[in-house]
Amino acid sequence: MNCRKAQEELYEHLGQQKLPDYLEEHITQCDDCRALWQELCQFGSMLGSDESFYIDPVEIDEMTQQIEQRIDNATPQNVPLFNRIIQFALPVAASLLFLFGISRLTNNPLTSYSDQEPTLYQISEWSDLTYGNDDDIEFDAITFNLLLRDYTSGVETASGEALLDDLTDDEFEYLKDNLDMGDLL
Amino acid sequence: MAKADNETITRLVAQAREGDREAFSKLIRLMMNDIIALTFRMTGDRETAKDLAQDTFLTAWEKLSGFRGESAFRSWLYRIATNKAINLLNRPASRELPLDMELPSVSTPETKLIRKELQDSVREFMQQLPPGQRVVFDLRFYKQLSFEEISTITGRAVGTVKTHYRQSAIKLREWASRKGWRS
Repeated sequence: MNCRKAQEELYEHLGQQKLPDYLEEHITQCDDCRALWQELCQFGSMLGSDESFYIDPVEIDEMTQQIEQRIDNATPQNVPLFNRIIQFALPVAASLLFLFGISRLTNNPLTSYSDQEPTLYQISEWSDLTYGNDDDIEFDAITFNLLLRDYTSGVETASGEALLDDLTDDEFEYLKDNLDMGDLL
Repeated sequence: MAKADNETITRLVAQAREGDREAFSKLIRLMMNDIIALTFRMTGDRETAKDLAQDTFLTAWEKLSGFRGESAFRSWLYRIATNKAINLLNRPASRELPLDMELPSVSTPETKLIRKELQDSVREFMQQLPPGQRVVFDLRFYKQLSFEEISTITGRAVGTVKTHYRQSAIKLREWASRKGWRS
């Protein structure tokens, strides 16, 4: 074994407890390589060992607790099932309620309350006709027919929307039977 | 705390993989010194070393299900810790870490002084090495790993790892000579 190769390997064995036999044999015969190895051993011993950097057990306990805390904070599985359901269900329920409320507010009153018969006062409001208060007006078929005819004879709403043109009698009868004031408006 | 035997670690890892938090806490206690010694030498700063060690165990817990036991758990932790340390050292803002504190230990004032001097020396020497060489030097010199194990941990070829170590040893010799350590 030549010295160049031996010294390369000696550097690679810095900090190791034992040299391979062939290197041991070489350094016993070569003064330069032996001197290098002794120097490396001396310098290596001054760098201490892994244990020289160990820390206080109390500090290990503290750090372990901190890690456990961080794991707890980062683990959703630790949240009880009921809480997890609530976490997701509440925002969804709130969103649905909000959307439902919005739809109720924006829908035409006639369609929103289609199961209730509209009062004439309500009709007067939608049609811009002037009536007294709800108590003074009696809703009857004649008034209703008059209103319907107003809405089907080219009259415009306050917002400028054009209403239906004149209808045939058949169309009128059909509308009368299937009237949906929301669609007309 | 003495190094834990591999059998104990393997058993605790298996339990922790099943979600046993208590087993993982025992693992942390067993391995903390191993990791913090590494991160301290890598960074040269106590608080940074502690943060990195904590991050290492947190990552280990998160990725434990992906640990298939093909390598030793200790090597797997070293890989996590060294990657975190290298990432930190490669950030421009982190290149100049404060080098002012020693690791705390229970000891007499005299041994504390010796320990402080030793840690200062090691820190000074390690700062001479680029992060890649620092990892190789630490895993070989302090953790006594084979070049093959270091190659697995660092993902570098065995030949490259050997070259890194040789260069580190040459730098140590030069540095120690400058410091007057030569007998």
